[in-house]
Amino acid sequence: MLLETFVIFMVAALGAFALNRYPRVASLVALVASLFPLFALLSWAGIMGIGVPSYLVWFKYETSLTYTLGPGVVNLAITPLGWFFLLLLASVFPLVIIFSYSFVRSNAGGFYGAMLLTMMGSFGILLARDILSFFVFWEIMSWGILALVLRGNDRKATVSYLAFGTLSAMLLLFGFMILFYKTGTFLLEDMSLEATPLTLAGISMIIAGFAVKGALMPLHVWAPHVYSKGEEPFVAFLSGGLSKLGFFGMILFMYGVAGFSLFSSWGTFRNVPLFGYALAVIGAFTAFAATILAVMQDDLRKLLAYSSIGQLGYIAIGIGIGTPLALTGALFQALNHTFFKAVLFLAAGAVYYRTGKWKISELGGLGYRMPFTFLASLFAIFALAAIPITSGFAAKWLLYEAAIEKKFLFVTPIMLIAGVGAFLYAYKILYGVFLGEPRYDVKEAPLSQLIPMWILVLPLIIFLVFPGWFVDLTAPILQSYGLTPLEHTPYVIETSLASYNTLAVIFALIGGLILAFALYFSKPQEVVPHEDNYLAGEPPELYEYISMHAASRYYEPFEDVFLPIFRRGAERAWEIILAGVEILGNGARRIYTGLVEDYSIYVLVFFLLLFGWWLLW
Amino acid sequence: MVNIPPVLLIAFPLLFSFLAPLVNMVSRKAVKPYTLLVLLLNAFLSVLLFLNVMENGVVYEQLSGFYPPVGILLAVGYMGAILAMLINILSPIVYLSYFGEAESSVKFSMLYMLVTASSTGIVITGDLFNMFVFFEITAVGSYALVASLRTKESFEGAFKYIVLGSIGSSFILLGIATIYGYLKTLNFYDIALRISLMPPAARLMAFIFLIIGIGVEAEIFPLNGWVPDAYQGSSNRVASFLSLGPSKAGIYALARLIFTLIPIMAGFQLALLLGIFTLVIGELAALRQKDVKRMLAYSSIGQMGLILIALSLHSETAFIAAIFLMVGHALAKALLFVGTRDYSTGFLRNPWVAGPIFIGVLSIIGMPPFPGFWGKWYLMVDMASQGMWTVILLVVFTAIVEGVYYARFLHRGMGSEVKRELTRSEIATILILAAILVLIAIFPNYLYEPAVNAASSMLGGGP
Repeated sequence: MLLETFVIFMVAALGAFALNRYPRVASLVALVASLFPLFALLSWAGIMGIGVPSYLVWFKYETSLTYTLGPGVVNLAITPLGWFFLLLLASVFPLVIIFSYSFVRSNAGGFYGAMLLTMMGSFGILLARDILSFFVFWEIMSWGILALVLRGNDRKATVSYLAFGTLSAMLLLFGFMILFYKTGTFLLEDMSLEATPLTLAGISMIIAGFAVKGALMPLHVWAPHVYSKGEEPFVAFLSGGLSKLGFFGMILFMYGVAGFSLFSSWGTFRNVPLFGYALAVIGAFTAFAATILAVMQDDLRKLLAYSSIGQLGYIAIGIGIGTPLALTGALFQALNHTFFKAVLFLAAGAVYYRTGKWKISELGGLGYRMPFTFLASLFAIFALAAIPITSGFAAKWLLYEAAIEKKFLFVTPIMLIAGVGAFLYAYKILYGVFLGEPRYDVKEAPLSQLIPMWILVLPLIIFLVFPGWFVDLTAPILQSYGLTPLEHTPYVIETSLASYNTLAVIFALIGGLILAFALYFSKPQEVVPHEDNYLAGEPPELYEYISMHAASRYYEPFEDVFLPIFRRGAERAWEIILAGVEILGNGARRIYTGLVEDYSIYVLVFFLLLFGWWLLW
Repeated sequence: MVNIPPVLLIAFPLLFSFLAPLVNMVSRKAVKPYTLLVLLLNAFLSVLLFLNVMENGVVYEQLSGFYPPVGILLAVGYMGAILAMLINILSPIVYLSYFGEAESSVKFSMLYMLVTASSTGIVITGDLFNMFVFFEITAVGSYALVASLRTKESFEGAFKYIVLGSIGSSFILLGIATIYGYLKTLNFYDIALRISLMPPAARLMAFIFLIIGIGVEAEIFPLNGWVPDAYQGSSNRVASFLSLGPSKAGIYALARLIFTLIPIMAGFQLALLLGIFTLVIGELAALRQKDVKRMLAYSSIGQMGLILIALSLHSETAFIAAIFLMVGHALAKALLFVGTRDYSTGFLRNPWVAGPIFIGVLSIIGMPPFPGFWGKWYLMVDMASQGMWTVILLVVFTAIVEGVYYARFLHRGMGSEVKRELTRSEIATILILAAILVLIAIFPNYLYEPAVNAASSMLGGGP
């Protein structure tokens, strides 16, 4: 059934493309195909130690497959790590397809076709067991995304995506070639690497290639453009699902292929390999800088884009530290981010669907008009800001503990500051978009948009109550890398510093809420119009509404401090590099003067050069 | 299986091309279907020849009753068969795009058949002077094809092509004369047998003459000054035809030179150096082009450099890479030239155009699973196993540059201004080309196995 799934995806992609004129039918075709990864997950649940009743296993999937694809051999096999990441992608994918039913209007066949190809590529990546098939599927995924980026019709998004996409592909290819040169094999299992500088260069290139997809700074430049110009269901899948593939690759190659001992032989610092330490620092920097940038955005999509980049930085921190605690935290963060960012992007899409606006300063009060969208985003925002109504808190807690445990003096405070920053911009979404004066008389989002959002909220709540279940999911992954999983019960995770008890957290939260409500209702409330806070009852001119909006220059002092530092820093740097290459290009272009006499002289000079060589020889 | 004599591949279009004016006298409308029919017949013959070669190995045919090395010999090796099939199958497909045009020029059709025949001749001949003659026919025909658009630009491009092409021809002639002076033979395999009898200095001189002469047609830097102007000046289908026919024949001749005729170490090193320069300069120059056709022309130059690098590595894996790159480039570039006519910006608005163009771009950049990817993959694998990290770095760098300018190209395609829609026949052409690319992507084995045979045969010094 494994091979058939790829065929189903290809046929469905072609079918959706051909059914361009009937978007409803195309979306149905896409939805049917999108369920197959879920069937595969159920069929493979055994390797994660999860018992699935046989009536749920509709299709029997092989656990490994070897297929001769022309000159190469494709080796596919399911691993615990692959299963975990497939869980993230496969659960988001059908939901964004459902969301697209009402959202994607123009040229829908192309949209579904490209989405299906992207998912097919991802499916292959998660199963690939040799570098050839990994690369092939990686690029199928990448160019599926390219087709979707092109639909956004934004020059910067297209150029930066394809430029960084090729950079990533070439880094991966270069790194794979070094591994192949060193080991003489394509198979991941057979690779036994020695600690040489060349191997280090290869591994670094591979990790850098993955960092492009995971949008770690300074390789993130493409992400804000792409995230803010694509269609929301695609962006939700890109940020929620596809960006995780970069971290899947990192874990696979750092811990599955290279291994701890190899990294340790390149130097350690407090028992953490220097390589991992560097990755953690990059992750922390990304988390910090992207959070600051997110706080300063007024465009809802840009804000979510930078927020995505920042949250993904946390995953890199966890992978870099590499202890069982940190890896569990990183995977937990990956899971949370998948669901809450998908909800937020979809909610942004729903808001746009109803109002046609992206700017936070032009929105407001939608919580009264779109209460279900509001509530779903509220949960997502809690997860994002690590407030313990959702599992977002547990993930960050584990990461903090992991960093403290290893005494990361630089990384830990930055993570904490970035955590507060996340709260700042989360509040901006909450208040700027959903609270305040209602400004649009719109209806609630359609059901096809609400259902996916609410399904995506569920895991956030489930894993808050039962974080132990999540640790169960990570146990086979850690074991496959020779690490001992964390000790836990369904409610309590034992760590070396302390134990994380979710019940205690929930009770503390409920107690705090009761206290807050008690204080709030202890005095009689007086409702005043929104403007009175600013104008003391003076009726404002119409245009002043804009400047009065809560989200307009919301964090002005903050921006005054940070804007000069962060203004398009990395993007400037890349633009300078591109400008340098373009100067080279101009030089090359000048060789072709367009004058035939020059060209003849080139031939002559070339002949004379060769003649001189002949004389000397 | 019918064993058709390879010479038919050259003789048929040559004969029918001279009969075309007669057809034109009978009915002007009949010229296009007539030409297409002739080209299709040739395509069919080339497939038969290919199958024959795959089954029975190299096919030899001596002409006019003289035995080699005196008589002219046709020797169709694996590589020759692959390229002959490539040229002859693609040339009717590209010609198909001519059907949507209101104008119907019998001269154009004649030249088209002529250049198809002579390009095929280059890849199946076994005789150096014969190759020179075909080179001349190809070149003269191509000059006229470039000029056939009758604009200022096309005359300018054709003129530059004529000047450089003539210089190149004289160098080839010098090379042939040098070899003939020492060995008294023009047969490839006879020369190959006895090349060691030549004094090393003369051998190297002959090599220099020939590589300059052939390099002009194979678009090698610094001999490729004519390329951007000629491609820019010619109509889209001519540009497309030039990139699949004459340029592939040119690179074949180059391979023949460095593998069979004068296989010296210095030759491979020189080819590597030239390949690197051609690749880097071509790709960098493409980065700054505003004109789509000019950009594609520079991209062609870059790809030629890549193919030359692959050839110069002198190993089986790299040779397979070269074949994949040639086939991938011929298909994808032919597709892109036809698909982007008249520099209009909105060419991606129509999904039937967008799909093929997207596939073509992916293949050129080297995205799997299209043939361009297999080419780059095998090239990298081979360079990695030899530890040539600097060259890999350059290939990687140029691939990223390619990514940037093709992204700009695709973005232009999303623009709203559509100057002129593609005709139905042009869309049919690019759809067929894209379908072939996809077929090779799904079944690369059908290209891989012949490529392996070609590699072992060419590396062994055979045809």
